[in-house]
Amino acid sequence: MMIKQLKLEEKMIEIVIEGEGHTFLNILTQTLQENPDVNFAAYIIDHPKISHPRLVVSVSDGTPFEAIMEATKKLEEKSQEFIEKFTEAFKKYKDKKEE
Amino acid sequence: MEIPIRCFTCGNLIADKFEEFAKRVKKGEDPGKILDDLGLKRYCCRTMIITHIEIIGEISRF
Amino acid sequence: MDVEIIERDGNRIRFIVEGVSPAFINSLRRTIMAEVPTMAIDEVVIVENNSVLFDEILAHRLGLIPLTTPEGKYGFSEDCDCQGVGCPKCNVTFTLKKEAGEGIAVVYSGDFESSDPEVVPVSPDIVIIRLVPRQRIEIEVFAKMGTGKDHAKWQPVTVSAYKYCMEFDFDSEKCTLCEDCIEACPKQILKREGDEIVCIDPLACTLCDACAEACDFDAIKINENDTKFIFTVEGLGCIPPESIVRQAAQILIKKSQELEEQMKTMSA
Repeated sequence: MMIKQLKLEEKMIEIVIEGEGHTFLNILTQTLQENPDVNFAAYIIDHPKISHPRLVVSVSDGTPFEAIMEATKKLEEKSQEFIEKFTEAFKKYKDKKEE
Repeated sequence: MEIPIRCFTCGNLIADKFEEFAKRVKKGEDPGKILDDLGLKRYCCRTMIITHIEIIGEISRF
Repeated sequence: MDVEIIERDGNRIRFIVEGVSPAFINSLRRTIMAEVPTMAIDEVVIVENNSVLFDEILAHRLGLIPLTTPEGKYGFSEDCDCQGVGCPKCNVTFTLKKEAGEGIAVVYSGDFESSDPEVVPVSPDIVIIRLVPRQRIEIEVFAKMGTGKDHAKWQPVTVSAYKYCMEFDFDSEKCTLCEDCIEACPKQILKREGDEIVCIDPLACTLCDACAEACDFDAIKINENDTKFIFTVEGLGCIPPESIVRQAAQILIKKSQELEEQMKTMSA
């Protein structure tokens, strides 16, 4: 993951995230939009084969960096929770099957 | 020619199943049941096996 | 969030996830298909091949053979100390030598000799090529880690899909008990119980809406629950399916951590 900064204002940032695609950016923008301080969060991939996603985040309160960091933290927690719940469910299923 | 390694559509492994299929069809078993036995559920994989014609034996002389 | 496993059989796992967004589940699906790494043959050295298949076709066939992948043992060769050249730390070597004697010889994937007994073809019965007398192949191949993003041969799964769970909405006041809906259902999962129509297997529903269309009185409604999903993963035998799902979620975590760190350095 390589990040290039295109634009930086006090409340707005535009970055290019190299080496990522819809897989990560879609969930990231969605998590950003859940934050009430975020006015606008979206990404675009100009050309599906030769471009990297361009992410624009604009906030009303705080800095865009904080908003992105909060979103990544949230996403991390969600994935971690999923792993835990999945492992637990799998163990339960296995125990039940062995009985 | 030779049976493809994987199903064109879904990527499932089929090259290890064709020999058994051919052998059992020759014995007179129901092809549909053999495919069920081999664990080929989707019609893409089933088509791969059913429609395959092995001609490698004919051309390998040349 | 709630996870329940419905089925685990052979290379297949089916589970229900409740309380997540479609975006999350879709990211998980995409990660499973494109970013969970597996081993696959990537480089082939052909010493001799006078069979009827061209070298390129033979190499392509070899590449598609799924290989068992021990979790965490190998990394990408680009990240390895050898910097992508290929070394025993990131590559597995297979050798194969076979000659047809008097009759026809079939070369199977089981004929490969692997440098690591943990990395072998998932089935020893994969037919690679058929040889007739005087034909002979001698090859050396190198397998390395890769992801489905680069080539489908590195995909650990054949099926990775999810669908919304169905909510069966039945209005007994509007229903005239004509049972048209029961007949219309292609999966045969509707049943009459007393004065009510019930769905006996909601998981089997394909959300086709045939029952709602068959009903002239709008007594039936099929609702999609977009926070509850039925997820199906069917592996190829390279990695057990439950491990594939876990690894995919871990990849998502790793990505968020990476971005977080980059943001920290950028804002500083």
